[in-house]
Amino acid sequence: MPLIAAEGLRLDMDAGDYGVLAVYFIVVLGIGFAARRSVASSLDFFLSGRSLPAWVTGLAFISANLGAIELLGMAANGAQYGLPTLHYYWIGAIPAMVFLGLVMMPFYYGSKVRSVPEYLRLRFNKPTHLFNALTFAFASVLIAGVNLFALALIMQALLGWSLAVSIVVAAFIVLAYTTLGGLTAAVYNEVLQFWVIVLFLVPLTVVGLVKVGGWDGLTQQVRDSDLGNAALNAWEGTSVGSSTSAFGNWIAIAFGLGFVLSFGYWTTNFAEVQRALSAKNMNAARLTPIIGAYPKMLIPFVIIVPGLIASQIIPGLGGEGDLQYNNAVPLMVNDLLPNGVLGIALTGLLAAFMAGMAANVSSFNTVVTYDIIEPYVKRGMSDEWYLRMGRIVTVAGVLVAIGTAFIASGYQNIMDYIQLLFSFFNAPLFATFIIALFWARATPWAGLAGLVAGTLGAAAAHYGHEWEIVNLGTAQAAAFWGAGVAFVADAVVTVAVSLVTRPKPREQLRGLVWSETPEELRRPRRERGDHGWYRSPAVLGSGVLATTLALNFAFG
Amino acid sequence: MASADTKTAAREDPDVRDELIRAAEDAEAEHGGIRNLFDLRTIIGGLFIVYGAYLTIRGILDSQAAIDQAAGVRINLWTGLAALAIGGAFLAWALLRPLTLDEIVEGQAASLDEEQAHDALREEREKAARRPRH
Repeated sequence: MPLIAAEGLRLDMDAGDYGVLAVYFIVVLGIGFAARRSVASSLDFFLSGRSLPAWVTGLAFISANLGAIELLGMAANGAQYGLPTLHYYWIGAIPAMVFLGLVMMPFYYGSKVRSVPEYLRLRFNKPTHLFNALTFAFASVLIAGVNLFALALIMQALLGWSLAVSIVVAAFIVLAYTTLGGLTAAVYNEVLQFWVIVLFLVPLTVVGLVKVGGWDGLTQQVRDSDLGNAALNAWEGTSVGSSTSAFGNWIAIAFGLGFVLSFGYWTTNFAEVQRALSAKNMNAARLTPIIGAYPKMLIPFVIIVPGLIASQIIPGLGGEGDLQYNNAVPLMVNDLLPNGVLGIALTGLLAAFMAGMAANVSSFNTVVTYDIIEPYVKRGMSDEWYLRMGRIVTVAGVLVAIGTAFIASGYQNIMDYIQLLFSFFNAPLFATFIIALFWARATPWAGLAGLVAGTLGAAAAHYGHEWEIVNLGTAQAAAFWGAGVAFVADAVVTVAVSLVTRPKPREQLRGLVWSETPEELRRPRRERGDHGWYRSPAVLGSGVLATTLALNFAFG
Repeated sequence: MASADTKTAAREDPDVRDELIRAAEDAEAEHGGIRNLFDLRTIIGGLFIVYGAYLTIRGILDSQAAIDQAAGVRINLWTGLAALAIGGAFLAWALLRPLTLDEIVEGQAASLDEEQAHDALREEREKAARRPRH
C-alpha cells in the first residue's frame, strides 16, 4: 500500500471516539488474559484444545481473511471496476469453502493432524513436509510484518501517529493476547472484530446510499459516469476472444480465480484451516467454512458498494496521493461519518489490521513448533516444553514481523513481492492436495517434486510476464495465468514422478486417502447434539451455493 | 518383542509419526485447561451494549451539523440502537443457553463412534509403519 499523504485524510477525532478505541483495546487484552486460564497444554494453546463451537470457528474463519488490506483493497477494486469485483467473493471463495467443508474436512479433522503441513508428513514424507512448513512459516511472518506496516501507514494518515509508535503499539497488543491466550484468544478476538467491522461498514453503506439517492440513484450515476454499464454487471465483457473485462474472459475467471487461486487459498492455507481444526467435533469442523461462507457471500454489499459510491461522490478518486483508490473507504469515513460512529469506524479498521496479523502469528507459531521444532530440532521433549516453546516462538515471530515492517517502510513495493511469493507457494499446493487425497498411487517423493515444480512454474509465469517474454494481459489476468501454470506444473510433475518411484504401502494411507478410507468416515454421520437440518453441512452448503448462484443471476 | 522396542522402531520410521500427535493429545487429556473456557457471547454482548448506549445517547444529543454530515441521517442514533439490539441478542442467547461443562464435554464426545473408527485407522497406519522395510 503506497504512502498516504498526511493532511487530507486526517480524521477529526474527539474524546468519545478515542474512548471507543480505548475500550476496544481493553476488551481485546482482557480476552487474552481470560483465555490464558484455558491454556494448560500445547493443544490448548495451538488448537484451542479442539473445543470451539461452529459459530465461533465459522466467523473466525471469515475474519482471519477479512483483514484491513483485504477490506481496503476490495473497496478500491469496487471503486475502480465496480460489481465485477464480486467475482472475488462469489466465484473466488464460496465454492472452495463449501468444498473444504464437505469433501476435505473429514480428512483434515479425521486424521487429527495439527496443521496442514502435518498432513503432508503423514501422506508423503519428511522433505515434502519440511519444504511446505518452511515456506509457510517464512511467508506468514513476512505478511504479518506487511500488515503491521500498512496499519502504521493508515494510523499516520488518519491520526498523525508516527510509524514507529503505531507499529510498536499494535505489535505489542497482538503479542500480548496471542502469547497469553494462544489460538483461543486470537479466534475470540476475530469473532469480536467481525461484529465491530459490521457495525462500521453497514452505517457507512447506508449513509453513502442515502447520499447518492438510494440504489437507483447509484446505478443511474454509475451508468452515466466513465465506469458505465460494465461496472454494474459482474459478467459483462467476459466472453472468450472478445473479453473487455479487466478480469479477462470467463475461462480465466472460472479456472484461474474460481478454481486454482481460490481453492489453493481457502483449502490449504493453514491460517484458515487452523480455525476449523480448533472446532469441537467433526460436524463443527465441517460446518466452519460453510458457516463462514454466508457472511462471505453478503459482505461485498458493504465493501464493494461503498467503493462504488466513493467513485461517484469523491471527486477525482483514482488520482495520485490522497485520492488513490486504496483510500476509498477512509475518504468515505472522513466525508460522511460524524463523531461517534467515526470512533467505531476507526476501531473497526484497526481491529481488522490486528486480527489479520494475529491470524498469521497464530498459524506461524503452530507450524514452527509442531512442524519444525518438534520433529526436526528437538524431539521427545515434554508437552510443557513445547507449550513454552510455542510462546517463545510467538514472541520471536512478532519481533521478526516488526523488523519486516520497518524494512517494508523503506521499500514501497515489498508488499506486492511478498504477496506474490506467497502465491508461488499457495497455488501449487492445491494440486498436490487434490492428487494426494484421491490417488493412492501418488508417491512420497512425488509430493516434494510436485510442490517444487509448481513453485518454479508460478515463478516462470510471473517473470516471463514481468520481463516481457510472454504477454499475459493485465496484472490481474497475469496472476490468474500464473496460478494456472503453477497448478498444471505441479500436477504433471506429481503424476510423472509417481509413476517412476515407489508408493507407500496402502495400509499407511488409511484415513488419509479417499479410496483407503471407509465410506462412513468420508461422509461422517451426525450424532446427538448435532441434530436438526440447520446443523447439517450438506444442507447449509447447498443453501449457500444456491443463494450465490441466484445472486450471480441478479447482479450478472 | 517388548513394547518399548516397537515404540522406538515406529519413532525411527522417517515418515509416519502419528505418535507425535498422540503425545500432544494425551497431554491435553491430562492437563486440558479448556474446562476453564469462558463464554464469548457475554463479551460481545457486553461490548455492544456499552457501544450502543454511548452511540444512542450521542445520537439523541447530535447537533444539526453532525446530522447534515451524514446526508441527513441520524446515523449515531440508528447505529446505537442497532448495537443495543445485537448486544441484547447475544446476552439473551448466553442467558437462555448457558455454556456448561456438560456442553463442552458432550460436544466433544458427540461422535464417539467415529472417534474410535479414526483411532483404528491410525493404529493401522502406525502398525504398517512399524513393519520392517525392505
